[in-house]
Amino acid sequence: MTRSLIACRAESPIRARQIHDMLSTRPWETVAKFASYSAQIESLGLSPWQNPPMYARLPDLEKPFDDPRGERQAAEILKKLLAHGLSRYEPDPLAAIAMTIQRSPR
Amino acid sequence: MIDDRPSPWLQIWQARMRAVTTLSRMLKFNPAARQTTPASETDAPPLNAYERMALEAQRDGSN
Repeated sequence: MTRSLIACRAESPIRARQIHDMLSTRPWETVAKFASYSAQIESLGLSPWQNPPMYARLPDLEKPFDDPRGERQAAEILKKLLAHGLSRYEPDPLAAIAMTIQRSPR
Repeated sequence: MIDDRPSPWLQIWQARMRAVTTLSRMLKFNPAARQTTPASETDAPPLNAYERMALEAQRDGSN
């Protein structure tokens, strides 16, 4: 979640100011989850009606891919994150998975 | 016709018609402008990660 805070702050000066202000009035974990949500939406290019992998549920793996909310896709990404020992709060899930695969011994 | 010559108002009327035709085309008042033009491929927004995954699943037959 620390990486999510860093990534979210780096989006823009306005976002950095928002995070700073939130940290002064809310618990760290709440702000970090907000940052993770924002960073995942940004990195995956999601639409407003699509939830990022941090809110995915593994039972959604049973759903079809053409669901406009993308719940199956979110669950697939969550499954890969957990399988590679990554956090569901990764700011850029696909890049983190790719990097882990690249680093893994063959 | 005035004295076997075209009225001077004829030229003004013709210029007015040209102006009205040009302006209606520019302002899209003519019937042809009411036809919707198909969006070009460059207007389509890029696919996000979920849309790409759905297309890949469809291609692989795993949907």
